[in-house]
Amino acid sequence: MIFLALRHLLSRKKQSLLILIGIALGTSIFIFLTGLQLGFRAYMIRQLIENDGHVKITGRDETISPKNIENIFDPKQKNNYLWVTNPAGKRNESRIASPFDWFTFLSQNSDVSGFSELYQTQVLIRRAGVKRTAQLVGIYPQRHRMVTQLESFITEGKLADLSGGGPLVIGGAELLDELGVAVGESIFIVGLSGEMLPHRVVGRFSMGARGIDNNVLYTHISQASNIAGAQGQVSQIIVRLFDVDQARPIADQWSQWSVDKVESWDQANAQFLEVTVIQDLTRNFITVGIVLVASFGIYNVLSIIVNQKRREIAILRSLGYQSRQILELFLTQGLVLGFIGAVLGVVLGYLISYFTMNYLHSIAKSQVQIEIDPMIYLQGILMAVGSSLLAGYIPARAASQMTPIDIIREE
Amino acid sequence: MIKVNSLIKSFGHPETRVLKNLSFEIPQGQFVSIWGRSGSGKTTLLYLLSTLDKPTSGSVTLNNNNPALMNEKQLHDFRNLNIGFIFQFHYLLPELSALENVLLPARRNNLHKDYEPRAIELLNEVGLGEKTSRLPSQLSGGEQQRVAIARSLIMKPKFIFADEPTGSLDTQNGQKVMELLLKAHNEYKTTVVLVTHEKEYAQQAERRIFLVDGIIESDETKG
Ligand SMILES: Nc1ncnc2c1ncn2[C@@H]1O[C@H](COP(=O)(O)OP(=O)(O)O)[C@@H](O)[C@H]1O
Ligand SMILES: [Mg+2]
Repeated sequence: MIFLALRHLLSRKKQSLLILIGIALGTSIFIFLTGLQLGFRAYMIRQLIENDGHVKITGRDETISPKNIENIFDPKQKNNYLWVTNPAGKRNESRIASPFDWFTFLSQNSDVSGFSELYQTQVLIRRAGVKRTAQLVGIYPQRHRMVTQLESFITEGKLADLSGGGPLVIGGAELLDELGVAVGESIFIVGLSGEMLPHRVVGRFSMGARGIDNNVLYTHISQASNIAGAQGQVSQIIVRLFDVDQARPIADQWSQWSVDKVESWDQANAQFLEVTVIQDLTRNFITVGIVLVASFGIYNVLSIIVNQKRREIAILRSLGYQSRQILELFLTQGLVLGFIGAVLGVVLGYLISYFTMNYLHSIAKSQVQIEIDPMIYLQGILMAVGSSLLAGYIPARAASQMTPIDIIREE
Repeated sequence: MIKVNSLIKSFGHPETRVLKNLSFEIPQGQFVSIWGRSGSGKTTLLYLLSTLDKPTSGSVTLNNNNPALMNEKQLHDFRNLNIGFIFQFHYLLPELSALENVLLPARRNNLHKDYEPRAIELLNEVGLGEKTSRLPSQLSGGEQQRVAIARSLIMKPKFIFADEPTGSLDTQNGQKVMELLLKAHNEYKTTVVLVTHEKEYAQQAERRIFLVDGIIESDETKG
């Protein structure tokens, strides 16, 4: 019946074209919207994973009590002092209890592709009249670049410049701007006893994440722990796995037998992932809306066509065409409209995605990609074809149930 | 051969009987006209004879086949292969050319390629050899009816049923249609049942059944 179906569609070009446009627009909006959302999410997740690794090990937040800080005193003098008021509160910097056990474990674990420990501490910075605090993150540059993407965010200098240790830092772009310091110039970090320690800025990074760009300084781990008087301490281990999808079960497993806090990237960013659930809901909602509108359009137009073609249906039946063939005749029309509309929509959706992406990249230098995943396109096509089939079925079935005698008598 | 036995057809509530206990036979190859005034039940009878409708009681058989007992597939196969229809309002598919319209019954069985030479020949016979690719809208009423005649003949049916085929045509075109029906009947030995309210056409049939209020008033065969 495809021959007759096509003739029917061609004989009402305007209506067919309108439906095609409707389906194509619906499909392209779906493709663009889904691509944009998933692309943005993938970008965010990539950022999260690349900066924090797949699994992050940190010390537990400890409450301070006389017992757990007694090691700051000379053990021999243990009984010669007395607290006037018992120390209380939370430790400023949590640290990992026994980092070396972790290093041994991680370097032997077959799920782990790499790890990098870091020591971070809050410091006071001075530069000319400006004074402010910042997060000083001490890393092993060579190892750190194996587990994070920090290197790719560095716009001036390079991570390896920190390798030798010493008073060198790479700073977040916003922080450096605020301090009014350029690469090659120096800042002062205030040491434990108030001394001004000059550090040369050897590089600059920009991650696009405000909280980091205006707050973080990277340096060699030995330098950071020296400044804080915390040699050998580790505040965080960033672990990269071979399979990021295993992050959660592995983190759960490790945290069961460790006193330290072990979190997978998705646990650490649960809030962000909650937002994605809402995004999914919104997108599904819009998708359902698009499908409904497109289906309703097809349903309407096919109903009109069926009504206008009553007489032809009667003739076809009197010539021996069975009700199944009449059903086919109209169902085929819905299918053809759905399929062509879907193909047009997919092409249109791709073009919109492509040009929007170019535009975004040109004005904002953003690295957001609009997802061009074949699965989205397949989904769009299936949706368009499926809904046109469903929408076409009702009028097509009505047509197939008409008997020639009923139609002729009506006249 | 068509056999009609105690045929009754009623409509509606309260029931009104339109055909009141008719019994007659039409031998194979006869050209019969059913004529009578408007409202006498001609069309109702034709639909019953031609498998389009089912009797309230009694039976109609065509070559011993009772359409009331067939399933959907059998019924449509039977229509497709054995019956040609011609209606008053020619009923062509407006988006198909004359040739494609004639080939519609063959297309049902995907035989339209095989039947194309015959369709062209039939269109030639009805005087439309030059207009095979015209759309119905590009043909006159008489021409459209001639396309319908060609279409009714394409499968070489044993029966042709025509309901007022001349009804919407002027005398000249009406007579032309009539002649084509007679010619087809002579050439293919088809049984033709022609419904008309016009005596001039009814008279040209070899047998004339005169219907008055659902009863056969007279049934004359030319000597
Ligand atoms: N489907 C129907 N429902 C009710 N009455 C009908 C129906 N079809 C025909 N009739 C009635 O049957 C009578 C005969 O109609 P019809 O067979 O069309 O007559 P004719 O073809 O001789 O003009 C008319 O009175 C008509 O109103
Ligand atoms: Mg009538």
